[in-house]
Amino acid sequence: MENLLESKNITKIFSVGGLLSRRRILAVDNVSFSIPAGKPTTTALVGESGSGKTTIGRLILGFTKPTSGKILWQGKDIWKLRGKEWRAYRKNVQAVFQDPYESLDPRCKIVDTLMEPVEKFRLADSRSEATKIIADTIESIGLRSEILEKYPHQVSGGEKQRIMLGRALLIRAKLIVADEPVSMIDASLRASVLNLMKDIKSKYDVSFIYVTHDISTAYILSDYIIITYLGSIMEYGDFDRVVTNPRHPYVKLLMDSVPIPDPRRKWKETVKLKEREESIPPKDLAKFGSRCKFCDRCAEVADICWKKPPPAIEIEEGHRASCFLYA
Amino acid sequence: MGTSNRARALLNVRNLRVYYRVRSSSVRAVDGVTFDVKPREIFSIVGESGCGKSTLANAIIRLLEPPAYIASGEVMLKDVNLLELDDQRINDFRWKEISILPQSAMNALNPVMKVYDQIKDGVTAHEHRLPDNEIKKRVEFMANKLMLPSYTFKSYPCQLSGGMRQRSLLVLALILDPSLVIIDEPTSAVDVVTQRKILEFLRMRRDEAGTSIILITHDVAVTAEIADTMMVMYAGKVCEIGDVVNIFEDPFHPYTKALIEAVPVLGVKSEVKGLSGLPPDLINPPSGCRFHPRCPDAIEVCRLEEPQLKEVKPNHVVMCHLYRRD
Repeated sequence: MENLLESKNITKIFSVGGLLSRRRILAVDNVSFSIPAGKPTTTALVGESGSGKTTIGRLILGFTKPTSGKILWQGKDIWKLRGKEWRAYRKNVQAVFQDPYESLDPRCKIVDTLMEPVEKFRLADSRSEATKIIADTIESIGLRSEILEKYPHQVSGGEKQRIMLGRALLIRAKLIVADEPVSMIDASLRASVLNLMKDIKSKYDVSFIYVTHDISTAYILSDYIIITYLGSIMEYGDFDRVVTNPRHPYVKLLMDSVPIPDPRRKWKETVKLKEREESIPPKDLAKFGSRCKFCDRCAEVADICWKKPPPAIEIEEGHRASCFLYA
Repeated sequence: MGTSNRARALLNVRNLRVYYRVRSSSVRAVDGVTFDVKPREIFSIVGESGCGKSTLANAIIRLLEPPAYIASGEVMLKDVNLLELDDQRINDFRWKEISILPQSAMNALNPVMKVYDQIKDGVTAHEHRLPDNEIKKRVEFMANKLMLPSYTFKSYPCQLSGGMRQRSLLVLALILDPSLVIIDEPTSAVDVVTQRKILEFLRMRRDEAGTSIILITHDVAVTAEIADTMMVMYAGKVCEIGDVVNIFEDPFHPYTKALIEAVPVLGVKSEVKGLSGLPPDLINPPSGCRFHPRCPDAIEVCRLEEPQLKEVKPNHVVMCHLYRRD
């Protein structure tokens, strides 16, 4: 099966500091995964802060160029796309960001914000057609047309995120990278955004990459999960399989620590996880380039974990863990 | 909430009102809140942004800053009304009897001082006779339980991760063994494993030292995991107070129900539910029950009359017209 998007061994190294104290930070380390074509899917990109999940999202969006490796869109390297093809890519892959208060221009009415992409991508032949497709979009995201005449400060955070999703829908995006779209929205308003993402996927054939630290909301939305830690993929696969049968020691700990909203089911034993051994920048290339990222905290660590990075090992079909325990 | 409860409680908050002065009017952020915290209890205050939970915490420990002010009410800790103490007396109380881990704990440490020196400073300000090796012993004991490596305390805050800074501050909040500690959103910026470490430490502290804990959170899953009693707040008012197991199994207030239903459960593919509408404007709150414009079960009286706290079961109170016992 052809892939909609494929990430092939992408690595991103940032240089930070001054002339004398220059350090190279390994933000994303040899990350490979794919988003299948043919049916819409949602892939959750889960990790704690600093795990590289947002950088992976930005690499996919083409905001930043990988240091090495390739991102293929329908088989073509996105950094080799030119002119029309590049514009088509930027249209096909859209973003929804964490902070809905910053993604909308406060001086523009909602209708103007939505009119901009219609004009840029020439989605309509006339003003009246443009107005109509905007009205249709607003209806399909479950908002009333009165909202078009409002300014961003007059609508709630949940509504703003729905408008951003509507904008991506309007452009006829094929893939939406949603980076923590509900983490700033209160629980009671979150459902409307999550349910809309589900709806867009099934009704309009749009795939999602859902970047988040919240495994519970990821679970109800996603088909696949990628778990990252300090820039590397720890485990990757079908979400149900990973949840029911996590294999990487880090992922086991993670799944076991998600709080369950049921006061009769509490954690049984106390968690055992060491802190990082040294107070050094965690992603320094010189220190971390050639070993398992988790080896200094892992309870099941072996000698080999310190010597080279573990390969991704297939546990079962469509489920891989990067750990020497399964080599 | 009879007098018998009051006698057994460690903290009694009665009809507390905290307002923010804005131009010619005021924002009624906490509006007539009453509850008790018992000794050895983990009491969780749950609500969404703007419901007044952090304002309430800061009012209890008297750390409010203008334009916030206490309009009325009583906060009794072991028969002392904290609201009536002068600055010197409240300072004596803080850290020794009642302490707080603020929401911005990650940025609360002094950046140019090593963590251990800051803890020592805090301790000697209140207990100048405590010998140095005793402070060290206590720090080491808690660091061990919190899984903080020894270099933490020799480091400057910028050398530590956010989660480590937060846990260092937790050491400071508990080192003088206060009878009540208020923890404001301790887990909103940390990963789930660190979150679990912090919560498990708090539970252990309660079990071993008998500390009462007020845990403020927006996450009902965290409440379910650790609390004994929960209080749900909406728009500055109490909705429901009761035993955590009872409330999760049989929530009375429509808002409590909505909050619980809005949380997805790992391993259960369910539809997430939510509420429509916006959180209210607290300068001009809705008439009657403040939740009525968003309430799926609202009836005529909800718009007209403010509901009162009613005991629906022993130790379970609800503020909702649906449960009026006439």
